[in-house]
Amino acid sequence: MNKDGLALKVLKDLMWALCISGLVVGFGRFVYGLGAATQMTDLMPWGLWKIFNMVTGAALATSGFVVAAVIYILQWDKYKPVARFSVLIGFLGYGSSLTALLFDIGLPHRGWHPFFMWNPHSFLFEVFWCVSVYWGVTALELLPIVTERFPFPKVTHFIHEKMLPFVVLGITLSTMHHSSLGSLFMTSPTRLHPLWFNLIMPPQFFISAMGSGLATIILLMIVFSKFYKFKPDVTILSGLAKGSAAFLILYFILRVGDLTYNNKWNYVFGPDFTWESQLFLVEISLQVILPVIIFLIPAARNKIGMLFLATSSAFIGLILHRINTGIIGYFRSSESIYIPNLSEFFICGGVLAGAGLIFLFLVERFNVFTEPDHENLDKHGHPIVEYWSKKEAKSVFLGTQTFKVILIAIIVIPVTWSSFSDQATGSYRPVQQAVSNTIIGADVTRSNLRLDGNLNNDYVMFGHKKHQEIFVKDYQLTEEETCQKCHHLSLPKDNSSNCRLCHSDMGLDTPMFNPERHQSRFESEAEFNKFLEIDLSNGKENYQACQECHKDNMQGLEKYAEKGFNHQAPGFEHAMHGNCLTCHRLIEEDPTKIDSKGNCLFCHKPEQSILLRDKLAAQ
Amino acid sequence: MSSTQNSDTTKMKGILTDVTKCIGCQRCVEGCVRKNKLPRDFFAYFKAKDGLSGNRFTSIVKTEGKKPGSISMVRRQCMHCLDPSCQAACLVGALTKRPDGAVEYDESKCIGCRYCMLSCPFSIPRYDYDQPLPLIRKCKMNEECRVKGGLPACVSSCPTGATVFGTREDLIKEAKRRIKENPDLYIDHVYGEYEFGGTSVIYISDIPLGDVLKMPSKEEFDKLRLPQLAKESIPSMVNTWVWVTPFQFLTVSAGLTGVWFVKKRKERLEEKNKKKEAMNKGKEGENE
Repeated sequence: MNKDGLALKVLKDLMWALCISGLVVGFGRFVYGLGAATQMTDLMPWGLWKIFNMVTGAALATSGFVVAAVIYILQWDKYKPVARFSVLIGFLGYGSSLTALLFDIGLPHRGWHPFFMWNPHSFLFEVFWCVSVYWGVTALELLPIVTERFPFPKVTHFIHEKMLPFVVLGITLSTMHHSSLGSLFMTSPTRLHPLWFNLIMPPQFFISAMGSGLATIILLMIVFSKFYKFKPDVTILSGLAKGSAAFLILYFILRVGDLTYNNKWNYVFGPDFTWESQLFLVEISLQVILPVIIFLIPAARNKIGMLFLATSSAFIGLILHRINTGIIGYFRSSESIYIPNLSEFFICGGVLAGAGLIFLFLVERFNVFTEPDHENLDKHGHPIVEYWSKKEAKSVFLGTQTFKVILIAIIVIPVTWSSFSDQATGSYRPVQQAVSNTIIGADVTRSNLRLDGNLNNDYVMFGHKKHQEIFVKDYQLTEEETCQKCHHLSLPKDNSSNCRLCHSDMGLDTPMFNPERHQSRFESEAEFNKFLEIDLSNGKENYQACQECHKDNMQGLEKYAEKGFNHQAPGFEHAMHGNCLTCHRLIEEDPTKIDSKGNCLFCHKPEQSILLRDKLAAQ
Repeated sequence: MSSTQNSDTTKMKGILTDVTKCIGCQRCVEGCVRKNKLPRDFFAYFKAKDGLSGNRFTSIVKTEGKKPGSISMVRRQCMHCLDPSCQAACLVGALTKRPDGAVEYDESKCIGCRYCMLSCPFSIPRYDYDQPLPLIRKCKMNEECRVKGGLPACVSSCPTGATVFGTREDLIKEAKRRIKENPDLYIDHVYGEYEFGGTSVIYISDIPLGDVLKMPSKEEFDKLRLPQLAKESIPSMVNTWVWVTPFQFLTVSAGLTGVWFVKKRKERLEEKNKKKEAMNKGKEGENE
């Protein structure tokens, strides 16, 4: 094997880094849950991993079955050099998608369920079966690549001979699941935007996958020829390009046909022109129009540069189409958007990088671009291949690359984990705590309600019936009108009436804290204000804590602070209730007595409250 | 095909919600929370606009009322469709429509693919995103009541009788009676009677509920070019594609084998011809 170029070396290191960070984030997903690791919500349940890795990845890895059909069924031997390459792309593409799905589905340990629990009505059931069986088939098709370099030629020969049924099965399964991937989105007709929803999605997905899959083989061949410095056969590539163009044109006819048949052109150029229409135009011109124009001009088709432009355009266009169908088309109806976060990209890229590393490994150590010569056979009738030596095996596991990978892991793991756990713990994660069985506000007679305004598990008994009676007695309201006094039915933006709307004396100063009396201890008002540092109405930061002065006669305040309360009161109400009442309730012998300091009425003199209430009623 | 079509849809239990009677006290939510022993979820309305979440199976949505400046409250919950989209979507069959009316969720089968969430037209199923091994969460229509009789917690805790429980047939009759008695107040439409093939949970209202319930009107269905959904369910609309797949399996595999066979035979014939020609040439040579 020739030595790696600098670009390839850097690429490999980056792939290892991405792969390891993906593993770290994947570990985090199982510790913290999907909510912490992803931006998926209840309204956007399918994110990057399903739409990009599975739906898009499957479409881009179609090369496997198209080329298999061309070589094994139609027997166009011209394309034999890309056979192994494209089957390998198929195998790794599906493998990476399935790996991403393991992180995506909620309960991956139940991944085997669909094999035994059947629901043949489900499109996803079809996708699952076809994808998993097809993956197995591609693995079988690939087996000769690996086994031919080990000294058991009989196995290799056997698989090579009995390939046909597997090839037929693989191609059939591919056509099936590509159309099923399209029908996945047909179950949400009212949620998906009409530009992407239609009732012929299965053939559309199938045909566009074939067109762009072929374009992807060309693209990858061009890219790898640059890395490994060999010259790709332009006649093969332009032949593939012709096939790709045919499929893309067919797809375009289906797409435009749907728009015309269902009279949806108003969504493209018309009264319903929105940003989705712009996106649609970009998508269709990238996916179909630009590549088809280039593919159809023979002069352009035979130039590597133009082919690269066209195929990458088809590649990006296909990704855009799948993401539009699976994610962006749902934005309008669900009234929410989905933007994947960093950890989703880590796993998404990590599985792809893993597949890329396996690909590079196979390309370097096995014969992927060339097939063994079937003309020169040894005495047993098997092709002559150089078997793996011990030295080569040793170099795989104990080369310089191994140490490099360990170094990369040491750097990447802490970096990824720190960035991930920030994401995970940065968002608020509620404590799962079952609501106690105490009845909250559900008294059937509604004589007493327990209110918990600040939701801290401390309830206030609210005399519902008593309030009604007061309204009837004092304000001469009918029974029905009393409800409206607090429950302002159908008033705009009304949530629930605050007690303070009537009891506006709740936040006022009480005789307990008497500013005038405090002031009298100082020589002037200015000095008193200087002592308080401000005028009293100005926010809690500026208040002096009571115990700054009353160190001796307010004992137990340290204990009170220990409980986690802020000893600086945000207002008089808090100062009195929090600083005084907390302990007095416990200290006093019988808080129900009116002259006890633990009773409300000790400060809230009944006369005063009633006066205030009447004053408010007069307004 | 589906279990619903075999059983009598008229005997199915359902819930009728009268939006005009709802005062938005959220007692139904509370009753549901207590019955299902759900944890607190202060952030439900921030997670999704309609307030449903993994810990809230029902919620109250506030919308503009009939009078300008007023508000109306609409209770959201699982619609328990007669031919549910989620049942057709679930690949392991964890979601099933019971003959007693409810769409039931079998926790032991679910693999967590969230396809039911994507394919529900009302986007009802919610997910335990905070759990490492999460499950789908949605209204269960209180199994005890369906079997033994009695009222679901949300219905029994409603103080105004805005939401009532009964067989679907009775509820539709009752809804139509209310509309007939008070034609000025109500919109002459029972939401859920026919849309998406009909739902077990139906609504009557003085304001159009299309946006809140995500249940388009006939005109909106026409605009989406899906007029059939005003009467038919989603599974019945797309069901033909399900049967395409096995057919596709047979035809494609047979076709491929056929093409391969024809090609091979041609090759063999050509080889034979060549051999024959060679033989003939050889014989001619001998003769000369």
